[in-house]
Amino acid sequence: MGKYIMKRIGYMLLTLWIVVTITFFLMHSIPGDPLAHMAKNLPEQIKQNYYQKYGLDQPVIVQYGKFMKNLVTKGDLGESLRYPGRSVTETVLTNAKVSGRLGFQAIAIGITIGITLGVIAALNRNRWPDYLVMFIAILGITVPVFIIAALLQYTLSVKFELLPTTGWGKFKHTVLPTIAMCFGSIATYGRYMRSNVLEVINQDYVLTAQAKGVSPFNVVRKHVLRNAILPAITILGPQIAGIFTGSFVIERIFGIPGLGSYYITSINDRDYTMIIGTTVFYAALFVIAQLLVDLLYGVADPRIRVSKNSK
Amino acid sequence: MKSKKFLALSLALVLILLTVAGCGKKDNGEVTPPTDNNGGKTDEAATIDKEQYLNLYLVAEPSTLDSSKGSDMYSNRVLNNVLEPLTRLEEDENQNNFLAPAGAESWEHSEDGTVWTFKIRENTWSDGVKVRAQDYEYGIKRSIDQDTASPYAWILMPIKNASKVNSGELTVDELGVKSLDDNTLEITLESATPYFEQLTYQRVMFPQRQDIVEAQGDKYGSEPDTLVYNGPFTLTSWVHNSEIVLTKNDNYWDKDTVKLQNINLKIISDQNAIYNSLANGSFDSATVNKGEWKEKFMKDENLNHIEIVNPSINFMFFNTQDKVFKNANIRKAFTIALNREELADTVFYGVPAPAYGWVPPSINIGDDEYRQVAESPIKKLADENKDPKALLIKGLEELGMDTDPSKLTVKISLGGTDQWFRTYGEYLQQTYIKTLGINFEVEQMEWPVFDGNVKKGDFQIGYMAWGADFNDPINMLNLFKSDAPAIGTGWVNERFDELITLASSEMDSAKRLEYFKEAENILLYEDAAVAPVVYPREHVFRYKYVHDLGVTPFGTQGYKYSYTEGR
Repeated sequence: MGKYIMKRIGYMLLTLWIVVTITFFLMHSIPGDPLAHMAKNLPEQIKQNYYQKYGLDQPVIVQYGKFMKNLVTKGDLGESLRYPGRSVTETVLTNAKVSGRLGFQAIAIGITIGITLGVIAALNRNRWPDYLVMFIAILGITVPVFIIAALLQYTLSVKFELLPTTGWGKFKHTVLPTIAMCFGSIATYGRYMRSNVLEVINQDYVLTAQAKGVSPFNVVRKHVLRNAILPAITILGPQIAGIFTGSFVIERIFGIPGLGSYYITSINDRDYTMIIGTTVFYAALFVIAQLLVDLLYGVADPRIRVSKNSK
Repeated sequence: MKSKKFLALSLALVLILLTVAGCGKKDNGEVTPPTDNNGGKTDEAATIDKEQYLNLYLVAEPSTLDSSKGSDMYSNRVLNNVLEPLTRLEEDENQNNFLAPAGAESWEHSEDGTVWTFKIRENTWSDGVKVRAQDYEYGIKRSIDQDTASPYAWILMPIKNASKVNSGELTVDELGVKSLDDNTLEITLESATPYFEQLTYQRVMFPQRQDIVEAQGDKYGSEPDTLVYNGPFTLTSWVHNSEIVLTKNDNYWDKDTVKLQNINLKIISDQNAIYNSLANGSFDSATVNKGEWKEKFMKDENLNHIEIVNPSINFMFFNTQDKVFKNANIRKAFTIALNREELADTVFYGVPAPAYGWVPPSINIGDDEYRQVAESPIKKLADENKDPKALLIKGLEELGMDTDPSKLTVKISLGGTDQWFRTYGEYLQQTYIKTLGINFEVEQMEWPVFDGNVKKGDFQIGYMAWGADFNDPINMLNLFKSDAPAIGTGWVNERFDELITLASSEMDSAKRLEYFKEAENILLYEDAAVAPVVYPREHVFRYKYVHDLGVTPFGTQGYKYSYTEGR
């Protein structure tokens, strides 16, 4: 097991290095530079001073060398070009915490409700609860999140003035964005669980359990759920990474200081250090989440536990 | 999402509002504070709300509060309220700007206009240290210093040796800025600069404390506790990308005038969220640029409506090196074939104003608004040429080309890829096919690609927006000077260059007005190198209980005089 994890970590580092390198050269090849957000034809001398200060006058390969050196030796992602004086690492971590809180709330609620609804739908196949759940699921998948968010904001905070329109800091600020964000997960998990449960429910072992007189609740809990949840874990990986990276749209609408906006704005601003920082962060989360999911499989299903003599 | 449109459209806004400039009184000694600030004070005190605060917003996160770095309007907005520039561009009840003393009590200039002496006011920094002339000196020097790499330093080039210091040829000690004593700042210019006063309230001239800057290093200005304040307010909290709180500065020299205790600035970029917040009272004031929301707020009796024309312009520009557009008559035909009123109403939903001149409204010359005293060259051009098609045919003849317009194909390049640009392109296509009978193609691309093509001269017609940095017509007209062209038309006119050079050092505003009028006439009427389209306009809606909150695009009075009554 230890060896397996070590090997996986080795692959993870390799993946990260490839991602960073590709991103680095790609972002330097898009037209424009960090001064472009000013959209003004600045005098040549001003540009020169700026490039020199931030090392942008050197060949890209030299910049890459410097960047990798700082990253590997000091774990330093550098200073944001768009927001002078702010360290990229700090910015990413601070904002990821905010996104993380919101994302965790949304995904916890989303998974719980989604799985429950999915099971209910499957057990009541082709009856009204099934239709109702699938209707909600289709809505959740097809209606864009910004529409849900705008509707929630308009009804709950403008019409009825129950919750603040925008802002961050208190629990009440998280209510609307959480509801808006969890719609998608509810829908996804609901549909997944429904089809998985339907598949499992006709298996022989379920029939056996029922024949043995196991109570319907325990049949679902011990035999159906455990087997049906496996495929759902697969989609959990990317979602865990997504928890911390936030949602650009939701953050924009509700004025939440999360990480999501940086993924878009840093590219538009050509804020090179921030582009790399956010990319490294997302890539790292993603590979770690994948590893966790693989380990989780083992917990949920003893059959695919990594065997000691697998290699 | 609409990043490209956002980018291209906000060029105007960002650019314009990068800085703020205004119309100064010519004689510094005569500047009088507006009466409504002092006059009715006792009456106000009796009726104004007990709790004085405002809830407002910024559309984007300020880049940095290091006044030498950064150049965005959002950090400018905060900086104007937390630091005390030499002067402030304040506004009276009719939204006319006037230059008022702020960090400088008074100032005077030598007869030839090259040496300016500012008497620095007694004031205290938020950490209790006395404000000295040296703080202003250091601020200016640091902005121009090559090592600071300030993107906005170019605006200070009229200062003696600024250009050489910025390129590293000379050290900062040789810059024409020095403090004679703790209360006297002397600035020497390269040559007389009629608009120098308009630079005295720009962020790159703001005071900075050398000890704080050096102690903080690169972090200076990135967090509230990395700098000290000497303006009407201090920055008490800054949650990045979320909220900024300004609190009254009790060390401020004019603290008795300041009535607001707190200003909460939410950082929110979503338009609908802003309008929703105004609608439910979470914001006290908002700028509304969407037609349908504008209608809704117009009907709200609790709101005041203020219309503001930004000192910026959206325009088409021609590649005068192109085989077709090298002909002035063809450019004129394209200029007058547009119905600007209709365009402003349909494509822009009636938000902006049609543009018939180059220098946008709200830019002053002397004490007058330039547009009020100068004629509109495009109107004259259109009046004298009723038939644009005839002009086009005349131009084609002059070029020795086929005079059948239907055989001519012309392409416009747009630096934005979203729906708005598509609509705009389609509108132009329809108009030009109908009025000129030509074939008209529209090409959309991302802004950086467009920008690159224009620099290479690889386009026929382009479309752009530009905003003024400071309040003087020269700031808009010198964009076409052939030694430093900012807009890629490839257009060169000797007389135009000469006029701009003359206006740059002439101190008499009546003479300057004549130079500018002639230059604008050459640019638009005689040569038609660019075709102005609209002047962007903004609609500000504000609850009636809000008073004296700065609203003019150039003005820098900010929240200093504001208060609420009857909230």
